[in-house]
Amino acid sequence: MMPVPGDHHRVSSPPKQQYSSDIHVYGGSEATKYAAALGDILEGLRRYEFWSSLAWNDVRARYRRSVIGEFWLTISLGIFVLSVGTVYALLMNIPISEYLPHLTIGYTFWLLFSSLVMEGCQTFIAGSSSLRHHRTPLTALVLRNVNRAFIAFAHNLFVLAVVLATFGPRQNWAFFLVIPALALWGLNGMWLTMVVGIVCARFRDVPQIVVNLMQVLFLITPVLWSEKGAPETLQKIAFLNPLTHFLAIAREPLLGQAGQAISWLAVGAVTIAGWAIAISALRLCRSRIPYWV
Amino acid sequence: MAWVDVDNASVDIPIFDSKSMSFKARVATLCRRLGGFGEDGASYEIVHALKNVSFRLKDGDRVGLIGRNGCGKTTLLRTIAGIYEPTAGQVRVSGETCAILDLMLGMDMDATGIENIYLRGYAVGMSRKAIGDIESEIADFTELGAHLNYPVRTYSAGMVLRLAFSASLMTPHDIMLLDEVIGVGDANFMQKARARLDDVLARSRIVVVASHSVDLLESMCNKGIYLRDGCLVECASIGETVSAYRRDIAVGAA
Repeated sequence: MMPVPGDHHRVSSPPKQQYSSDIHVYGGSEATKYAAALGDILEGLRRYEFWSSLAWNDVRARYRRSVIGEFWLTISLGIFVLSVGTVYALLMNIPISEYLPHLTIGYTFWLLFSSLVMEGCQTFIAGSSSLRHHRTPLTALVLRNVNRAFIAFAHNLFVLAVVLATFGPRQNWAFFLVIPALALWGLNGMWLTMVVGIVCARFRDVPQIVVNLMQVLFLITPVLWSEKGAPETLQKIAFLNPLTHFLAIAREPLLGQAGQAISWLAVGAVTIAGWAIAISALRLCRSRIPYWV
Repeated sequence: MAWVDVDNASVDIPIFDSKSMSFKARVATLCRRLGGFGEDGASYEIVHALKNVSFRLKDGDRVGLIGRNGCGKTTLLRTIAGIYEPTAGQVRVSGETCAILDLMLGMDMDATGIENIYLRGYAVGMSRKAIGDIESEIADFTELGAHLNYPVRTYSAGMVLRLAFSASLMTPHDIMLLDEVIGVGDANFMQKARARLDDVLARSRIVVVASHSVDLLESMCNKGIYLRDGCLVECASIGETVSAYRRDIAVGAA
């Protein structure tokens, strides 16, 4: 039987039902904050059914009562890459069969990145009712965002598959590098959502700043254009832009190449640094988030 | 053995108005501070919602939480549930907690009744299997029948409340925290709801109920906590607590 600290009452009746003897401690020393941050991550992972059902509900909610539903995502991507792909290929004087796969992969992953960040800003603000009514791990809401972004991404894969089957090169062993690339995208989506979610919960101007930064980022990342044959300045900027390397590790395997080691190294470094920032942010702000939303 | 140990807990809630919430205001404050223009630098207001509150609860306690609007009742429930971690002091809880602060929590008006039962279950940390086990029981209790397969936005207000009540109050927990949830639906359903509530609470170990209805608390509780402006005024038997509260009202201090 669990003794109450300093309790003067006599304990009498035996337990009536199954009872969990975990002791929850809220508030207290700095030393417990790391443990609490890690506990949040583990508990968040464990609540799989919570975040996956919310993610699916979010996607369905957006397209409720529409006949085609979430496949509108697929259709709009298809129309975008076909029209932009054709016009830009003609403008830049590149064969469509070369440009279209490049653009489609780049844009599909750009959309994934963009939904991770833009909706990531709203993660905790939109989850305020969960956060203010139940003790909810922040990680669970982060995973809801990542899951939702990947559900939309999965719908876009159809377009990607059609374009690659029509214009893409013959696939080889390099294709399997897509698997670690996607895993890295998922891991980075988590820390990114955590960080922007926490900052945006506190400073409500940041989502607007992010919207504007995203426009700039889109232009300095080789989504529409290719580093090959780009002016030197642009090449340098692209090289210093981490997102270039994130695109490269996903794009090159699908085009039959392993990708440069430097890209994999850059992505690995960003993953580690990002998680370090996310864990520190979680440690510092986890308990404050319900007060901010 | 479930217990709650609130030790000198204080909760300060920051109020960010739209101006101080912004990055611009923070930068401006920082500049003022660096420039030494003599501003105190606090860019937002703080509400001291709980001030140095201490008490203990043990198995079998049925606690009525009394006090005027804004005295910190809901904040105290949130603190025991671990939603608001105390800014100072500590709260230690042994046992699983269930806080029902808002019956309508997480209701998605465009989702069906059944979908909402699941969404609610997940929100309180239940597994799909656990919800599946009580799904039909909840469905029967709502008396909504085929309506459960329609979107909640097609429901009348009374039907929504039935669904919300049934989905929230099906399973007992070690520690149940309730905020003014009693009295829902039409007279017939209210009677049924009250019976269900009594049953669930009887099977829980510790119950804390916040309410303005002193008579109700006197009938349900054996212990009372009286809060005034975030301070604990009285923590004793329900009778003593209620008389302390009534005395304050009589002299206009409450």
